Amino acid sequence: MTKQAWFAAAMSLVLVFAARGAGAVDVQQEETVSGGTATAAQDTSNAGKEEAADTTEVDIFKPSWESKMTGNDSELKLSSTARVQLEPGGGWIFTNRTNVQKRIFRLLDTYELTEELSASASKFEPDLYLFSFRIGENYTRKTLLGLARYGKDLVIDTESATFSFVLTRPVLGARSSQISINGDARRGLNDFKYDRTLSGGTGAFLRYGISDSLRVSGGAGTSRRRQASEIGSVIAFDGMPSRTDTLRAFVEYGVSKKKPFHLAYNWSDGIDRKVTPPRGNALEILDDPEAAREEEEHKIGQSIDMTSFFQPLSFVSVDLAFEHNNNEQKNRVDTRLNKKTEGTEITAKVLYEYAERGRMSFTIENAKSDVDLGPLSLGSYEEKDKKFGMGIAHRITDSLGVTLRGSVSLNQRFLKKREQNPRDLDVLYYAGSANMTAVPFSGVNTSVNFTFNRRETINIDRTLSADNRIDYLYQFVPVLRLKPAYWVTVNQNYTLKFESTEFVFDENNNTLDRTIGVETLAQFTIRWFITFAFRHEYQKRDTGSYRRRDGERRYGRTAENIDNDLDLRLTYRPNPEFAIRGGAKFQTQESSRLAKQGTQTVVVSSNTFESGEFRVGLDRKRNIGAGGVFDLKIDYVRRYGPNVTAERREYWIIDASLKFAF
Amino acid sequence: MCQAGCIFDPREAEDPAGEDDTCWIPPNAPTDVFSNLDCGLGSAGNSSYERSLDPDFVFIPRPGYDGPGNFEEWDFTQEMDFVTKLKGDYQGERSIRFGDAEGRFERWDVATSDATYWGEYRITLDSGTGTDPDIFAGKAEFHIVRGTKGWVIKKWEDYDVVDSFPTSANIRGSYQQ
Repeated sequence: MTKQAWFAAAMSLVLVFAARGAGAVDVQQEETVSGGTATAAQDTSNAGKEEAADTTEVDIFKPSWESKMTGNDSELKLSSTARVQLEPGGGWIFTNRTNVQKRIFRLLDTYELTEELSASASKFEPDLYLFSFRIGENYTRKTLLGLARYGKDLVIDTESATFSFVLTRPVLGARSSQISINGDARRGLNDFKYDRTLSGGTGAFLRYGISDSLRVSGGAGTSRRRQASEIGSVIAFDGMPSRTDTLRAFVEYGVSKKKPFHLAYNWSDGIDRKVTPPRGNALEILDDPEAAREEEEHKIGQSIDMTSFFQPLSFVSVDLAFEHNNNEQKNRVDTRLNKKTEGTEITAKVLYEYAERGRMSFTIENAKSDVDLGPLSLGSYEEKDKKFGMGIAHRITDSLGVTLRGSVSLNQRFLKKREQNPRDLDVLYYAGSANMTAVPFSGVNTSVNFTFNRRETINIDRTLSADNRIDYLYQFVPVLRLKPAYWVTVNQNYTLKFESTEFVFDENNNTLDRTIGVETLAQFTIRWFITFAFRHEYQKRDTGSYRRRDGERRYGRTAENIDNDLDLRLTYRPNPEFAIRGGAKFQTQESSRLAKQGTQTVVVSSNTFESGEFRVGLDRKRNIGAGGVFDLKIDYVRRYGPNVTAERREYWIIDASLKFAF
Repeated sequence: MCQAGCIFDPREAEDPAGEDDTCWIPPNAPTDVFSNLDCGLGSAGNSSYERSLDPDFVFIPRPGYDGPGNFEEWDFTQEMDFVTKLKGDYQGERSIRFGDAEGRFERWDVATSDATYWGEYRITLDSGTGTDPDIFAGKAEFHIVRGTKGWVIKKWEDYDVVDSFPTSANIRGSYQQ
């Protein structure tokens, strides 16, 4: 443990003794949220509650402890968190938190240990300021087998001290404002390097109300960072300065939730300097520490968003949106990351309520973007997107409704270096759906859904156009839900699905998948404390294609799969804090490969595959004294099948916790 | 479906210059996906690679990865965008080997509707300019699921390194827009 960590631990002891000395006092406070390090927002919220709370006698000293264990077939996680909070009054909150967590990844032979220790103090003075200070240490060690080959674990061990001060009293005639200043000092090991960092920033945000309906707000911020990094004891990079400057501005007109006019502008400019390995691969540094370089990443970005909502008639509303952004990134060392993007998008949506029970919507979208990946890349391109959509929703009666939707879109990509990289591409997409829901009798719900999609992929250049294809999807799904008695519900879903890929220039690559499925779900409440659930799914899928033989298009099947899944679950829950659960899952799959022999389609090979699991579990929750809770969920799972890993053949799922708030 | 002059009128494609290099096989088994991803990366067109991805595909870099790229939302669109740009810059031979040199995985778990493989991969990319090919390698968990169009990959999660090669996150991150 470092000096800061010892200091944090010592500070918690000081708080404990201080609180014991003070004892319980009569203060106007409520219980605060437990768990997690106290943040400025949380502190504000707690302090705000003080104003409205009653005069219940509450301890000013709130220690708590939680131990947790979760485990399943892939990982086991153990954690322990101790937290001490002291609220002596006057807006002050002192918090000390210690957390230790260990994760063992059973299937991957990797381990992770995390320790966090922090102490924080904050003070909130309503309508004046918020101050917080925190010191802490974070330690993470990950053991990966590949890295262990280097005799090294992945270690992140950082000590830090931060402070922030926010002036919340409105200044310069603003309706509300926030002026902040913050600082951060940290040092520690970050995988392959040891960093020492000093950073700080300041910002201001002011909000003015010109009138009840017109508001103008804006802010600016700047931050600076200076970092020194060492790799081993030889390679050192000193005084790498970084900076970020931001600017935000908003104009808003209107009093309703959706504003007739809203404009937002954001701008940022930052230079980030840090030590990086070649191609971002830290392993190369382990082989050769001198390969490390000081990278300078310069990012500039700005965006403007404008939205407008108006209702010219009581039954017509219009939503308009305009968005424009441009961003640029320049890297001094890894120039492959250089890029410059610019995009503009305009969207218009009209909603028309043509009847009391019906409405229509129309949407138009138009977008254009430009992506420039630098002079070395061949991948720079321009892209255009257009989309039109419409929908109708109509309730014919209280128990019968219809929804129709349709859309068409075209995406076009234009490569800038088409001669060297001829990947110009158009994608034309049509989608349609119809849905009807009905309640013909009490306890009977029905719905029918039909979906149609057509996606055409068009490579323009002759070197790629052989890959041009059209993907079709037709899906028909009727659903029936029955509740004949209070103790039983039955759902049945039917699926008919046709999915095909048709190549434009070569029909021999075409495929067609046809799926028929029936899913039945039933739930029975045998007694109020015993429920039994049943689920069966049948699915038959065949794969084949329509191909041209002797001038005719004929369908030929190449494979057939039949699946049956059965899932049974029984739950005994005599009270909300205790339950015993049991279940079983059986899955069978019959797969056949088919071929044409003369005029007949015959089975060439066939195999049956079975898998499943049995599971029993227990839920138990129990209060221990006034402030303790024990919560346990445990399941034993046994799986079977031809290819099940040893770790997954038989395992426990555990979710257990023990909490004490003293 | 759209008359000439309409705003949704796409450009006319040129007739193919030669034979189609599609090497797609119907993915009736989980391991067919690896074959389709390899051939999809190697071929000029994207259809094989694209049809091997689940619509909810995600990529997750190895623990502690600190290279280029932001992988919080690496999805199907980002993956296809990456593959398209990669093919533009590496116009020589491209391949992905899944498993070790003999194609073996460290572990695998196959059920009727999903399968998971843990093991090595090695991506070899030749720019076609006469320089040595770039190699990206690591160990990953490949989660493959059975959809209604056959098996597709849903998750590629790097979990370790192989020798001192950069992992797939390094090349993916370099091409992120």
